This record gives sequence, C-alpha cells and structure tokens, in this order.
Amino acid sequence: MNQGRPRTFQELISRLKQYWSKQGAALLEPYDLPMGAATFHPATFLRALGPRPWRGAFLQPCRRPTDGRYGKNPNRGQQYFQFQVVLKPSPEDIQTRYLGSLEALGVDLSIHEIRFVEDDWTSPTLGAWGLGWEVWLNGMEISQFTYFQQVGGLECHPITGEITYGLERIAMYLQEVDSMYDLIWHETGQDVLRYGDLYLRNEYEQSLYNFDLADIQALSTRFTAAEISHRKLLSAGALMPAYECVLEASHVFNLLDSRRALSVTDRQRRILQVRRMASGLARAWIESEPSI
Amino acid sequence: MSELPSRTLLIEIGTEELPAGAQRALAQALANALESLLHKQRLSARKIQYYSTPRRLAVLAFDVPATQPQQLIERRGPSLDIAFDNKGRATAAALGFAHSAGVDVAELQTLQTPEGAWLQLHRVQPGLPALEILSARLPRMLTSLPLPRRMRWGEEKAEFLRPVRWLVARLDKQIIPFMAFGLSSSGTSFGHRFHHPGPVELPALTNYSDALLSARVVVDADERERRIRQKVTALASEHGAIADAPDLLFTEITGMVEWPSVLEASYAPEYLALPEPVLITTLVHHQRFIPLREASTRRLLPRFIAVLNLESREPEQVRHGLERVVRPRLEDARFHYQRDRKRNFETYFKDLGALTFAPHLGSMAEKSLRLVRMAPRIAKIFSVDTDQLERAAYLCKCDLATGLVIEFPELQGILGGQYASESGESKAVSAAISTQYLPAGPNDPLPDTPCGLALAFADRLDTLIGGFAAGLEPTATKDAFGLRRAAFGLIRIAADSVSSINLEPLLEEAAKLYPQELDTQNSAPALHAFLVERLRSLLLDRGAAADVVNAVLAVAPLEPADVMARIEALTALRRHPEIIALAAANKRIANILRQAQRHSSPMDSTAPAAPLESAEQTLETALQQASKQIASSLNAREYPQALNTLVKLYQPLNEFFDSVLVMAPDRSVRHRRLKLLSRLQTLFLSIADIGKLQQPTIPT
Repeated sequence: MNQGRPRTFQELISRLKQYWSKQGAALLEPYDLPMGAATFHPATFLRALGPRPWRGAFLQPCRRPTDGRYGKNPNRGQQYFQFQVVLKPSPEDIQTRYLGSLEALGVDLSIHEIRFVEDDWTSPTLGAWGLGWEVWLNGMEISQFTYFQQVGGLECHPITGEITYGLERIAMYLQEVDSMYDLIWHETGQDVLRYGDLYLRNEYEQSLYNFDLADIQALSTRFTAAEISHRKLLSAGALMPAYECVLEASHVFNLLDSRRALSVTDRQRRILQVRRMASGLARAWIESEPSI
Repeated sequence: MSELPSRTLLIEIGTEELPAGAQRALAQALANALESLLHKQRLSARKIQYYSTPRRLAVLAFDVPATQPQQLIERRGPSLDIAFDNKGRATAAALGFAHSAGVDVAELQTLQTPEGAWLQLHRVQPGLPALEILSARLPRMLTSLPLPRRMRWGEEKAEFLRPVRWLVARLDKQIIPFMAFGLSSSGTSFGHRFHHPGPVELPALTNYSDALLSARVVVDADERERRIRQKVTALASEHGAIADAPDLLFTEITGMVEWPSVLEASYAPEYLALPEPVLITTLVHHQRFIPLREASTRRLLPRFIAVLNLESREPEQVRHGLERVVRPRLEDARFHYQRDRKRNFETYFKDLGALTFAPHLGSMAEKSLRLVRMAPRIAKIFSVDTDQLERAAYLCKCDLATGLVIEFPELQGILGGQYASESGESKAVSAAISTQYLPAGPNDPLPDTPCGLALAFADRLDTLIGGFAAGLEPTATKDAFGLRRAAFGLIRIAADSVSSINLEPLLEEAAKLYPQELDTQNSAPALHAFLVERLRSLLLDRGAAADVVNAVLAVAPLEPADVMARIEALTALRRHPEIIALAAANKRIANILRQAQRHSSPMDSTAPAAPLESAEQTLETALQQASKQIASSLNAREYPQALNTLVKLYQPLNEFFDSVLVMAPDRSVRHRRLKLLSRLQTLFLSIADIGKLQQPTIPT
C-alpha cells in the first residue's frame, strides 16, 4: 500500500483520486466556471441539498483575486487547487478514511503529528455554515474538514461531510520546497516541469487584471446581469444555468473586491444579494428534485 | 441500618475532536446532570468525578446504590361516606382513586382520624434496580446537555458539539443498555487515536483512568495539564530557558492532546529583530507553541516548545516540520516590517483616506482629524500637553495602513506605538498610541499614561457618537462595531480618572465634529441611555446596591466619578432611620404635588393674605438655610455633608405635615404651601431620588 511520498504535483492528485475512488467516491472533473472554493462546485453545493446519498471527489482550481501577489509571495496566489471529497451521509469512520488518504500520500502517522483543530466554517454568500476542523500536519494546516449544517439557507439532512485538501500546501510539504512555484508538477527522466513554469506568468498577469486592469464598470454590469438572468432562469425552471449565475455573481463580486471598488455598505449589500440568489436556487432545487 | 450494596457507575461519551475550550465545562455539565438524576432517583453517589479529553467526556460515580431504597407510599383518598354507598358498595369515587393508585379497592386501607375516616393507599414500594432506572433515563440526560454549539452528522437527528462515536455506560461489570445518538451503549472504551486505536477493556471501573493511561490517554484534564506544565518546564530548563506562556494557552493545549509529549524547536535568530508581539502572536496565537526566554535575562530566545499529541517515532521529522511552519510566517512578517519601516511613520497618514472607518462615518483619516480637533478640550481634562495629545491623535491610526498590521490585525496600536517610537516620536506619544485600545476586556488595565488615557477616551467618544448616529447600535446578540466594549471602556476611564469627567457636554461637543449630514442629534438620547446602562452595570459590578444606584442615576449628571461619590455617601447613610423617614416623606411630597397638578388651576401670583403658620414658617426658614448649605456642599461635592443637611429637614417637615393643611381651602395659601413643597422636592432631588430607595422589610 505505502508507495512513499508522491514526487510530483500530478502524482499527488492521482493518488488522492485513486484512494477516494477505492472509498466509493465517484471521480468528477472540475467545474468549468471560475469559483472561490470547491464548495461552489455543483457536486458539493447542490448535492448537499435534499435527502439523496452522494459520494464524490474532484479537483477544482479556485480563484481568490484578493490573494494574488503578482507571483511574488511563495505561499499565496490568486489561483490554487483544491481537492475535494464530499460524503453524504457522512460515514461513521470519516476521520479514519481521511487519515487513510494521508497514509496513501506517504505520511507515516506514527512519525508525523496530525491534529484536528476546531474550525467553524461560514460562507456568507452561499448561506451555508458547518462545524469541523482544520487538520494540522506537524502544525501546518493541510485540510479543512466540515460537517455542513446549512446550505443555501436550508437545514441539511442527512449531513454531508466535506473534506478539502489545499494541494499546494501539502505538495510543498511533501516535496520539501519553500515556494509553490518550485513544486515539481511532472518529471520524465531529466525533464522537470515546475508549477512556476505553468502558473507563474498567469499569476502575475492575473494579479495585474485583478488589482489594476479589470474594468469596474463592466464588472458592475456583469453583476447586475447575472442577478437579472438568475431571476428569469429560476422562474423558467432552468436551475443549472441559474446556478451558474450565482457562480458568476460571486466571482464578479470577488473581482470588484480586489479592485477595491466596494464601499463597506456596498460590499455587504452585494454579499446579501449573492446569498439571496443562492438561497432562492437552493429552495427551487429541493422543490424540483423529486421530479427529476 | 445495614449497608446496601453499591456500585460504581461510568459514562463515557466518545467523540470526534471536541473544541479545546469547551471540554471541561461540558464534562462538568455532564457530572451535574448525572448528579441531579441520581439524586432525583434516590440513587445518590458518594462521589462524582468528571474527565475530559479532546475525544471523550466521562463521569465516574462512586458508591451508587444498586437499587433504590424501598419507599413508603401513603395517599389519602375519598372519605368513607363518599367511597361507599349505603349498601357498602364502592362508589365511582373509590374506584377512581384505586385505579389511579393502580390497585384494587380491596387493597386500600382505612385511615381513622378524629375528623372522620378516609380511604387510604398505604404501600411499601420496593426500590427499582439502578440499572433499570439508568437505562431508561440516561438517553434523555445525554441528549439534553447544555451545549455551547450544536451540530448534526450522518443521518442522526440528535445533536452534540461534535459527532459522538461511542458510548460507554457501565454499572460495575454490567453494561447499562440504551440507545443514544444512534449508538448502543457498550462496555469498552477506545484508546489514543494513533497510539492505541483499538478498544480498551475496563475490568474495574475504579481503575478507569489507569486503564486509559495504558492506552495512552491521560483522561483527567487537570492531571494532563500538570504533566504538560511539568514537561514544558523541564525541557525549557534543559536549555537554560523558561517557558513564557499564558495560563490560557496551557488550558487550550490541554484540550488538544490526549497523550502529551514535548518537543523543542527553533527559528533563525535574525527573526528576533521583529517586534516581540509579532513573534509571540505567531507562536502562541497562530501555532499554540510556547515561546522560550533566557532564564537570567528574560530575553526572548529563538526557540519554542511544541506540545504534541504523539510520541513520534522520529521526532526529528516533526521538529523539521514545525520549523518549516514557523519560518514562512516570520519571513512574511519580516518582509512587511522592513518595508513598513522604510517610510517615516507619519507618512502613513495619507493612506488613511482610503481606509473606511465605518459605513457612513468616513475614513480613518477623517476620524483621526476629529480626534485632533477634540484634543485641546480633552487634554485639559486629563491635564496633558495639548500638542502631545494632538500629535498622538494624528498618528494613532497610521499603523492600520502598514503591512504588518494588515497581517497581524490583533497587534493594532501596539505596532503603531513601536513604529512611532522608531520614527522618533516622543515617549508619551508612542506610549499613548500603543495603549489606545485599552481596556479591551473587563479585566484589562487602563492605559498607563495620562496621554494614553486621554487618547483612548477621545477615540471611544468619537466611535460611540458615530456608531450610534450610523445606526450601528448594538442589539442583544449583535455588536459588530464593538460599541458595548467601547462604551464600557469610556465609562471605566471616566470613572477611574484623576479628575471628574462629565460626559454630557463632551458628547455634545464631540458630536459637532462630525459632518452635519450625519444626524448625531437624533441618536444622542439612545447613546446617553446606553452609557447610563454601562455605568449602571459598572457600579453594580463594584458592589453598589441596585436601589442606591437607581436613586442616584435618576438625578445625577452622566459623570461617573460624581455618581460614585453620591453613591458612597448614600450607601453610608441609607440605613439611617432619618433617611428612611425622609424617603417616605419624599414620596408623600411627590404624591401631593402630583395630585395637586392633576387638579391644577392657574397659579395665583397675588400674595396670600393669610400669614404663615408657625410650622410653615419653621420649615420655610429651615429650607432656606438648608438650600444654602446644600448648594455649597454640592459645589464642593461633599455629598455626606449635603445628605446630613437634608436629614435635618426631617423634623420641621414632619411638624409641618402634622399641623398644616397643605390643600388649604384658600387657593393662594394652598399654592404657597405647594410651592414650598416643590422647592423642598427640588432640593431633595439635587442629590438623589431617595424615594427610589428600598425600604428595609424589618423596621429598624
């Protein structure tokens, strides 16, 4: 079973996929719209609603425009990868299964200290909250572990357990490098492809866009357009496209935020707008589910 | 009485990792719930002990009776006349009573008394076995513990603080069978998550903690904390160092480990150039590491101790990991620190324009400038140099624009003070900046310099006025803007300051510094009432009696030190019989005046023809004299003296009531007397509304 540590970023991803696939999770692909966290993936947000059981795992690139540092900070960027596992209902041995995944990554639990540190999670835009932990590996946070209690303003039952791996953090630890841009993504013989080769330029240029170039007026228009479409699509019963409007509004909000275009009240108002959109969608989703 | 057989009772709730701060209180609540259950069931234990770790809450009850003691049940039923008809047959009344007691009428007895005879239930009820009672009652007890937060998991409907994964319920060797949290109770526990993941047999419950110890769990939280402290101290002294951690950190760590081991690690000495609070925050608040200091000099060392939940097979690897976590955090801090210091501190002022103070309240720059404008007035009150306070006010928010404070927001103020001092600001100014947020909590000290007090005072005054005007007034559950804390700080500073501070004019003046669009006038009454409430709770906290506080707050200005002086005087005299009598007289005056007002007729300004009656004259003279004396006492804030003068009015007042009719038929005479009483009332109210004093229930 123990194959030692994954040497590359892509092997890290494939180990997690293999492991969770064996645990009975369906392996999905990333959702093709920008989002701030894997929780926005329909396989998490929508599947956490209602009574149906679900087990899924997927990689999701995430964007947090305000975290951009023009590629200059070794630990922080506006784009990063999350690997997410959602288990509904959360199984009795969910923690043990999670620890098994660390062993699959070559982490020897009799050597390294793993600790579950209280961490309550709230997403104001998704109208969601849950209780759980940050998972520490020798003092470093490597995962988030959450039992969803409410999603889209609705009480969950059964409860979904969500496990989110911060892949850059884990990989930096496993590969013993101090900058995420030095991570080995892939290697064949002498050929080494690093994270920076793939994403450093992106990081710089996206930071430029997020902080300096994004057209505030256009973003504002997009936000309003997403809100209007959402309403229309919701009443037309086209819920998936309506959900994409929630994703759009949320991402555009993040961009406006990184452009510092929002006053405190404006910020609060828009967060509430996105939450209303998410909650409206969640209700409609629950009501329509039996008919699918 | 012979010794009844007794048992040891164990309940253990096995959970996923519980929040560190909640464990002990919840274990204690569990013990309390069990104690009250046992008591109600006549199964009281000799001793109850509770235990907590991150993964379990347990309670052990010693010498629980194996069965309830038998109980004599006696209940009186209907009288015999009613219970049986004239043919001696049981009536519906008798049958009903027997039915409710669960017996046949034949089993009931007769109770003879001088007043007559009654049917009676007289039964010795054998005690039920503890096992039976507990198995019926424990589920409800366990699922209704007071939780600080509640959550659900899986398909379970019951809630707990974190998911419950096993339940041990034993009476000696027997399992107490029941279901709770979707689990069946069992007889075996589980050991440490990594060292002993399997089941732990518990052959003798009295050895519960030993059994768990061999499964690498120190189940007693106090014992665990002792071990942690001991290990930390020992390891520190091996390195010639002392551990520097607040008690709270030890308590928190105790809630994070079941099997503590310690490991010493280090960081590069060059990071010691960072401000100490930055190092401490990184180590203690972010990582729960324990900083080390050199024993002789108390200087911070580039070392720390981590308390682990694991005896690692290769501690070197863990140490390596811990050091890798700390380094980027410190490196990040150093980056910001170095960059921040390239600019003189005062240049950050221009960045404050972009920082919002609060919705509708403008920028931090505007806030700072209001504080500067307030400075001359505030400086006078606190006897500090105006220039000094103006400078401190101008600079006090500058650190909010620095990179290090953006990274470490909890260090606002403290870092500002440091930067100010490094940029050559005076000691007084730097100190004032660093203590501006004190007191943050009820037990925090106040700023320790006059300029610091003045700045902290001015800042809160401005925040409260703005916050209330912008509709950020706290509710019972929400106080996003921290106004309650700000108000409490303001009151404390005012109460404990050298000079007495009347907040009323200051509130008015400070409100004028906001732009006119902000309607500070409209919210002023609410703010005033809010501050009075904070003052009230401060006074009650400090031991003042509620009625005395009410009496004083009803009339005194919003001037904490003055209010406290009045309270002190009134407290000393409140049991004085004359004060009690005076309070009664005061109520009587108030009643008379109120009634007179209800049937009011326009005041007659013509001088009444009738001469003053002698008691009226005496009171008039006494009142004139007392008014003068009290005015001068109040001026000098000599409240005991003022009260003593007031007390002397009792005699003439009493005589006046005895011999003079206030509501005289002659209107002008009536008005003259009412006016006299009204003046008297005004005089009373100049010190306190003594009518609000509670009368002692037992006359003295």
